[in-house]
Amino acid sequence: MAKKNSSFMDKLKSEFTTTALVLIPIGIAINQIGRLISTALALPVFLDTIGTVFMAMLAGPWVAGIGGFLTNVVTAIAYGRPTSVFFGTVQLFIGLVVGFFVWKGWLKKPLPVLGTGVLLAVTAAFVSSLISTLVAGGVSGSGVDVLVAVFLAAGQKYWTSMVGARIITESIDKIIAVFVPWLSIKRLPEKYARLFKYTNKIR
Amino acid sequence: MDIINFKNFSWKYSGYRGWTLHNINISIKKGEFIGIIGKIGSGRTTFCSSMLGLVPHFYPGIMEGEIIIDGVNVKETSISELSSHVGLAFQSPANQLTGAGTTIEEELAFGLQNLGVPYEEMNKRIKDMLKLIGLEKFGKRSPFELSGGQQQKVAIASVLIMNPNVLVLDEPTSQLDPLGTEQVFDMVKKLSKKGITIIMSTNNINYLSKFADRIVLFDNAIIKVDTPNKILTDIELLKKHSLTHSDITEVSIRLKKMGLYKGELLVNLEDLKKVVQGLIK
Amino acid sequence: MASIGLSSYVEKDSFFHTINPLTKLVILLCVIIMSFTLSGFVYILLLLLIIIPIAIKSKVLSLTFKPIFKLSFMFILLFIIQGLFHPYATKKLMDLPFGFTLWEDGLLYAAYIASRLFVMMVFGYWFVLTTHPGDLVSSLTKIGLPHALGYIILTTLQIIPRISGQMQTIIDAQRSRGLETEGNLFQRIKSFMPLLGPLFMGSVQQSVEKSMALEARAFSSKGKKTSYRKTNITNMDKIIMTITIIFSITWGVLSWIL
Repeated sequence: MAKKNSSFMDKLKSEFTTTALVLIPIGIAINQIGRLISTALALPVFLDTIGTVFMAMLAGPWVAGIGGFLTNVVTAIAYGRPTSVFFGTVQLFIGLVVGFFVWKGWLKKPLPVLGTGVLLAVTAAFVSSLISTLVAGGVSGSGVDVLVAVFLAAGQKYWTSMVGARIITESIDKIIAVFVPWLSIKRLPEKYARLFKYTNKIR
Repeated sequence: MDIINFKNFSWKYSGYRGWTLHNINISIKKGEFIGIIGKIGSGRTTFCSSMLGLVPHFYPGIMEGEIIIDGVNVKETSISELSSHVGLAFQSPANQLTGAGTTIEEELAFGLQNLGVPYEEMNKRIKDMLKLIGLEKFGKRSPFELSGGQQQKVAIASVLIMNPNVLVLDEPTSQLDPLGTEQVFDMVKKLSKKGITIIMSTNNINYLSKFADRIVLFDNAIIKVDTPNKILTDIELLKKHSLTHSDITEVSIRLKKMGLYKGELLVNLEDLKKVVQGLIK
Repeated sequence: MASIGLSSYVEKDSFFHTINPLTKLVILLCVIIMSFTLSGFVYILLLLLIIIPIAIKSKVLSLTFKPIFKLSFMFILLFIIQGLFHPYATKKLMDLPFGFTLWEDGLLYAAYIASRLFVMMVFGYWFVLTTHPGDLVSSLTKIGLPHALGYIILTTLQIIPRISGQMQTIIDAQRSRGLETEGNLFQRIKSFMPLLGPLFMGSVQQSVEKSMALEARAFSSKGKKTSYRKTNITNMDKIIMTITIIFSITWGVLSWIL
């Protein structure tokens, strides 16, 4: 039992090569500038998981999961917003799921990539509704709060409004967040691609 | 005494067909200043990376032959161990900043922390290094506020601080403006005078002609090794490898055509000065 | 004083700037735990009486309360959502026009959540205003935070402003070339791929170069590592930590028995 455990730890450690470690700050930075991109695309969403997906496609589920979670840790440290750590769970989840699909070799064609975007949107909607209810009484500090209020005012039930409003914004967000890195990594030059363990799984 | 020894070294990146470097044999003496020239894709960067062990430890590929540097075998030594023997600096100043240091002092300390150097020793080496690069007053500043040339000096200093006997510079000025280029070249000159073995890849022929002891011309293999005067004035050879000769050589060619000068082609400004002064007299 | 990347740290010569980051972290963690476990919102709000003198002593009083104003809209929405649409509301406070109802337990719940968020944000912001990120990482590394994690946190704070600057330049350049911001979603994404392609490509190249630079500085070295930044836990730190923990437990117990 102990032996099995240590071999898992070794495997986990082997995922975190120097190149993968260095990718994390850059992935987090991309998450942070998602907002810049989305403004330029004239979209009502944040695109703040685009870097997590990017990490998942290059360095797999563990690096992306931890890197995604750290996005919120860094936000917490930078702006002194302890609540943002709780929402890191969503990032962790997205990193793990996309990374797992990449590892399985399921993301070689555009259709499954689209499906992944939809799946992420639905799950992210549920997870973030839950966290925001538990931590912040249903608000999350973004534009979606207004949409939730509109749903509620229109007579929808609490959970329908929470999840429903989020599914709308999340679908736009997640489909872009999955497609854009995917298209870029498909075109990555061989010399660089070889330095990342997971690139050959989507090419 | 040889400090660097390449024996039949060849390298092929995995996923690529041909050898990036083929059958490299060269010995470099302690304290020498070697200039590396060659067109883009000639394997100069691979050659530079191989001395720190990035090839074969970082990039996947096939290695043949042997590299011995400062008494250690590159193939059998980890990059972190090699970093105490060989310092490597490369093109982009910003990408060489780790970002882990919020001040220049901390940026310099990064390698020493990883090697477990005690605080007092670190502090001493950092002060010395800041003095060497002329940034003693900026130690507490953020490295991100520096100019490109200053950042590159910090990058070089941050590997030099680990006390390597060999300093490898891969096109350290290709992303710098003329002022930054001059700052970095001045620093390299100083280091060379201190007796550090320097391997510098650059196509700045004017600079190499002044300070290099030997020039190595690469084109996926070593084409020629000779003194700066011999290689840098061989216009046909340079042209064949897509390199241009220096303006000084150009002047001496024109002087020759005009019948004003009869000696060998020149590449060194001092030599040209003498010739021109002779003409004026 | 130059800012440290994304960090909100403000350099000041104050007592709370010099104490160990871990001590301040203990204060912050106690406050976070209390804001989730105290029995009512009044007990949580009373914690603000503590932060005011601390913030004055730290010379950052007005700054400490700054993020609250930015998020006032969020607080208003919170009261609307919970006051009118609390999922498990039972006690009616009054009827409103258009068939809406204001719920007493909804409002109470909103007040509870609002005071929790308010207190966490104020203490959290005070923490980052007075704590140099380098000191924070160095003190955490000393108690077992992996070096790699410390590296990630510090370097991220510093490169984000740089990368967003680069991105803004790319966007401006594309805009001036008459980039398409109209049409349906897929057309817009398509027109933006030439913009995002270089971003991702450049990011990969940057991470490769950076990792070579780290390797050149013995980043993967297996031996014991040392720290250039000095952070020590003094007796004063120990006293403050002890007082904080004792106070938090007492306050927690009081809130439930009173």
